[in-house]
Amino acid sequence: MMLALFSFAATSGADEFHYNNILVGDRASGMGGAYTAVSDDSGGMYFNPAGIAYSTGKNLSASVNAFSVSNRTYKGVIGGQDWTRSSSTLLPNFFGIIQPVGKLKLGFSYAVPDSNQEDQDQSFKRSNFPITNTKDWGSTTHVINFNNINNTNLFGPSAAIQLSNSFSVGATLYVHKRTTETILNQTIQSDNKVIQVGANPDPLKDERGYILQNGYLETDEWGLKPVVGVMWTPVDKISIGVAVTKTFVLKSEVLSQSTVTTNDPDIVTALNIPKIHELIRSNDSLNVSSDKRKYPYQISSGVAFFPSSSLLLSGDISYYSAFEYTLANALNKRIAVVNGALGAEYYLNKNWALRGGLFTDFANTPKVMEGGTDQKEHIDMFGGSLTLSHFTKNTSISCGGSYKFGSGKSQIEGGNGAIQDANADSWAIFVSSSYTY
Amino acid sequence: MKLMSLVYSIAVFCALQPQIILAAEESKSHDWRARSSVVDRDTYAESDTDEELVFGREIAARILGQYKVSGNEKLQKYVNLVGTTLTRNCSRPELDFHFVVIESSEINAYSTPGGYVFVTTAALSNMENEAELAGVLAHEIGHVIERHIVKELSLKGAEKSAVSSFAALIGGASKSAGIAFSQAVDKAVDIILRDGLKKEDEMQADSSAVLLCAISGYDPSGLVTFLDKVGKIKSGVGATYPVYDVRLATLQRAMSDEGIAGMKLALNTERFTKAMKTEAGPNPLDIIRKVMPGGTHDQK
Repeated sequence: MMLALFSFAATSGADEFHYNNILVGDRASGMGGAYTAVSDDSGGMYFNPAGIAYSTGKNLSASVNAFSVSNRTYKGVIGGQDWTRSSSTLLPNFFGIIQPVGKLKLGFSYAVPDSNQEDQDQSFKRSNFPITNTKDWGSTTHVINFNNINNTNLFGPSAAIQLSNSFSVGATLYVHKRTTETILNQTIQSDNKVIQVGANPDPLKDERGYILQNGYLETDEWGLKPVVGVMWTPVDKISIGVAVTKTFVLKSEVLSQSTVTTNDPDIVTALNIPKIHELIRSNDSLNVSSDKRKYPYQISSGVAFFPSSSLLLSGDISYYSAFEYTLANALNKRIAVVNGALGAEYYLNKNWALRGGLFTDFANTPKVMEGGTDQKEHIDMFGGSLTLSHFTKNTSISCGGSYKFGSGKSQIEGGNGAIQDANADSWAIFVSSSYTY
Repeated sequence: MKLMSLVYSIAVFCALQPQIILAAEESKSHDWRARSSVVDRDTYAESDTDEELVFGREIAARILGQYKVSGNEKLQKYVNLVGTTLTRNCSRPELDFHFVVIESSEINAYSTPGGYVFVTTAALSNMENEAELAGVLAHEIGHVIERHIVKELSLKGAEKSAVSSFAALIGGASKSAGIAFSQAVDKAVDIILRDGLKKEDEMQADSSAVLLCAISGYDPSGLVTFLDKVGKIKSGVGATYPVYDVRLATLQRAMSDEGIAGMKLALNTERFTKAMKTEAGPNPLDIIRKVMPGGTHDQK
């Protein structure tokens, strides 16, 4: 019986399992991302480029996620211990400029829809650690160092044109650049000499058992992410927007490595790993591949209502298709997801405005089921955002924050059928500014 | 397959748009997209106009203190008729515009908040037709309509800032309010006669001028030909204007955008030439009294 030996999760970050990891843009982030039918400033290049056809003047916008923090807790993983992984990042979130050229509106934007620097540094005791039916290491000390970096950057041009008073089309062609690096180091050491139960002689007599594990996965990918959108005004004060996008990976480089070292031959036998000199190793070579991730089709549709110059209400529904791909010999399955968002903008006066939004961020992984192993975590999240903006004639500065939370199930111990309850939350404080001239 | 069906549906929707558009309302203004931060910033109350008039009248009085009013009453009437023709189509009907010819060797024209417009005799003598005069007057009307001086000095009746508000400047009984008002007038005079407005304001006034001329029946190229002439003359041009080449290019683009670039409308060369030949009248002060009822000069 092998228990809790490879007790580390798959080397993929949790933000891969959600699509609304960072709210992008100046106004949009305050409105919970419900922006497909608004999109009439530089943030529109990301959400629905058709909307920039209605932008006024030349619009320059910079948005900064001043600070973003996320936490995930997996309950009772090994010996009843909770695992906690935290991420904190400080990053530029969005920059965009729109320039009218004749009847066209041209623009360029840079967006960071995903950025994560996740860490887990934990040490804990476990009272028993059964290796086989006849061997138990007894009390053990576990040390886990996990680090996951995941950054997605998008940059590229946009163009939009108003085909009539009530209809516009637009497109953005983003260059997609994503880098990830996941490192996990884990040591398990018996606190005392290993006890042999049964007739066989103890191979670790007078020794303390140890297992050293190292996992490494690095990906570097380039691709294209076209965004095509339309904006329609069926009646005054109502706007309907639809945008379709998908990321196509053109070039990918994947480096992976997995190493196990132990001084217990029973583990060697159980895992069928080769022995080299006095150390016992497995898979110690660096694997290189050009496996390409896949991404879903995203179809977003929204409705916005502009009852007055001081109030704006909007709602979005986004559909993400199911897909699967193999990366570093691991099959990744994603299910179809539908997320919703509601947003509002209210001007207290010409100088001050409040924006608020509610949104969902459902997991794109299948639900964790009894009887399986190595299933990805499934945590459905719900969030809200609130910003306060101050305007002068040509500029605006906004500050605010967003918070999302959720709970679900996970199976973070590799090769183990145990299912854990999992909680997640994240918050961000952002400062953004825009300039119109 | 479901996805392909959805994409196909969107494509069909786009293809049918012209029909849908025809079925929809003929014209849909997207002004409702503008938010309070933009809309309310350019909204002025009636009380603002009253204060603007008082403020502008004081500035006009200062200008008249520096220039001699042309004694040619017929010419004054003629310029007023052309100006009034234009103001009938302007977007601020609450204002009562006054047009005054002042004697100066500078080729220039000025305007103050509230609707006082001055054109120099040198400018008039470099014009060839009524369309050019209309272009220059419309340009000055544009400054008034857009409240360029008011905005430059950040003055507005509704503002609560005691220092910057019209109400505090004009309505304030204190000595400090009087001083602040006088200083604001000084600043405005400096902007008008010496420093000039922002280039963006000049170009905005140009754009609105050609449109106003076209709407009023004047050939919109009048302002273009006059500016071109002034640019070539160079001398006597104040710092009020940006580089002429850039300004003319911007103006041409604005005319093209508005669809009035090739429009052939009235030049009225003969009427203008005849008006320019009229002789001077007797008393310039009477004209001032006429155009500035209740003004500083009227009280003398």
